[in-house]
Amino acid sequence: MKKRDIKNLIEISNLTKIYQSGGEQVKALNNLNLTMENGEFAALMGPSGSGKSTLLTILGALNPPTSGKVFIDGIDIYNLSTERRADFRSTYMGFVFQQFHLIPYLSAVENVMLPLAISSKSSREQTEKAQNLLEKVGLGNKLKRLPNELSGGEQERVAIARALVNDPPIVFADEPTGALDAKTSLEIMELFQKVNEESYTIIMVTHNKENLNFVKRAVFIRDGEIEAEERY
Amino acid sequence: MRLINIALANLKVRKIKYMFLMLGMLIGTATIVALFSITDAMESELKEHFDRVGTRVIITQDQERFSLSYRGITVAEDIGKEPDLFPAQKLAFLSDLPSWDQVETTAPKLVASGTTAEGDALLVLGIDFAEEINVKNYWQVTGAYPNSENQALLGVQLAQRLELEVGDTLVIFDEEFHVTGILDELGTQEDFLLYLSLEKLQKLTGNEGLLSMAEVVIPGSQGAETADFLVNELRQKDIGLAGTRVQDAAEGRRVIVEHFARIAFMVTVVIIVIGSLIMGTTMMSSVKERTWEIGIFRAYGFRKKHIMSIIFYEAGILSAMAGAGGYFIGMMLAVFAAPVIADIQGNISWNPFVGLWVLVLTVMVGVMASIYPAVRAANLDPVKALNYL
Repeated sequence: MKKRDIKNLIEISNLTKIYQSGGEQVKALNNLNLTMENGEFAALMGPSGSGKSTLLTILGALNPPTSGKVFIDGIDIYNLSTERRADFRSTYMGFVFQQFHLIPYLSAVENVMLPLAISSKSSREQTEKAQNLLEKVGLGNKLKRLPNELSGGEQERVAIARALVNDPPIVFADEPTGALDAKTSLEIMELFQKVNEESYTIIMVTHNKENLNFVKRAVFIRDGEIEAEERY
Repeated sequence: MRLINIALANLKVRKIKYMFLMLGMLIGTATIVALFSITDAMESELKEHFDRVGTRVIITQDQERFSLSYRGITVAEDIGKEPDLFPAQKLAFLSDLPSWDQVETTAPKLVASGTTAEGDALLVLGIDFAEEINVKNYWQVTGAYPNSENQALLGVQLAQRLELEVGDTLVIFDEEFHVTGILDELGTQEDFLLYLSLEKLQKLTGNEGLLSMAEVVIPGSQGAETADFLVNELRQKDIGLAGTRVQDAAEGRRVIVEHFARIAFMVTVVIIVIGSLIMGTTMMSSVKERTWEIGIFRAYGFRKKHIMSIIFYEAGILSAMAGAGGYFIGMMLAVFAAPVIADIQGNISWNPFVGLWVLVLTVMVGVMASIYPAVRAANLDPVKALNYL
């Protein structure tokens, strides 16, 4: 899929998500409207169960909404077939998951190369790209280490490098500092800031108010609705 | 990084688990290879035997015989007239039979009994030595075959009983016969017979131009089928001759080999079914263990076909290793077991094309058994897989 250069990268209109839970209906998101510009560094904040992770998965083209539209780069992503959405994610999105979710049997450089396994890049190009990214995140000397041989902060850096390997315009991060100590959290947020300065749009779910020092915009969600927004 | 690298890395990290799966498949493959190799060797050996010796049919005068049973116990068999002799010219009618084209050799015989000058009663067989030697190509003789009417050939047991050696003289039917040869032991009734020239015996017994039987040989491994046709054709032709297929040890072995081949096939089917179930179950368990991993793949844009490919690569690699190892071990097993199980020496042939077939079939079975787990993996909801819900 070809990326286009438009101002409002993400547009959500009247977004609602209802889950079935034990015979009851749970409204995780209620008629949400939101736009995000190209190059934003936004935090989605709110208490547990507020719907922020649900919003993240919907924006990440992983979780079809019950109603409403999601446009990314002008494309109605939930109008695409499941397989075309997969292609879309491959082109447009990088993910940094809670608990890193590195593949335990792949080394750091192999984990970073993972999204490229379905690309047409040669092995040499893939390796070069992955090595460069790991150097960028400060792990140039730990390419062959397995995840269990890396600290929490190092694993997070590998996860960030993996999210960037396809040059996606958008990076989604879910609680990237949730499992890290304060010092490491700070380092990771500085890294995200640096990534954002290279024109990546970053949308991050976070509980940590300290992280607001690094973002440009915060969207506060409660009970599936946007409670407030702040720009920094 | 390609999908196959992901598959290889997964196999490497879970090698203990997959080793048991591979071992099971290897043993199954080895068993199938050994069974089929032994069956193949037995069939080759039989084919060689029948190519060399052929299938025999004994042609005699057609006559009714009865047996008497009382309360399920046979008290008397073959009650009827004395066996009739038939004119040798009747054999000429047989050339009209369709199956007669397959007959290679016809060996006429006359059976008689006689008493030696010393008072020993013998069974005497009058034969055409040239034809008989063609038919009995397994005969080995000490001395030489008779080449004139006043020469005789003895079975080894008869020679011992009469205390005769090559070069000695035997008097029977008031005539002197020179012993030119003694057959090496055969372990059959042939060891107890005296063999004279057919024409000579016909003259001595007053049965000129008459025969007790003719032994025909149909060469080749399809000889049994042709022999059965010949026997049926004789029955239908109604010229007063009947045929009986000789059920020798090789015939008995043919039946055993056929049964063994059927058992080998059934065992193969069972092994394939069990192997497929084990492969499918193991891959299914692997998919369940790696649910979140599959969620990652899907999040990063892997299509369903990519997910399925990873599963198929894993199954294919395991199956290929099992197939290759199973082939070699199966062949070794066949080489050592064949003499013990099937009394075969040699004939186990190593054919690289068979090895290739075994490899291809093993991979096919492994991959097909993984279709369901692969489809399940591909259809996993990425959000559920990543435990967001």
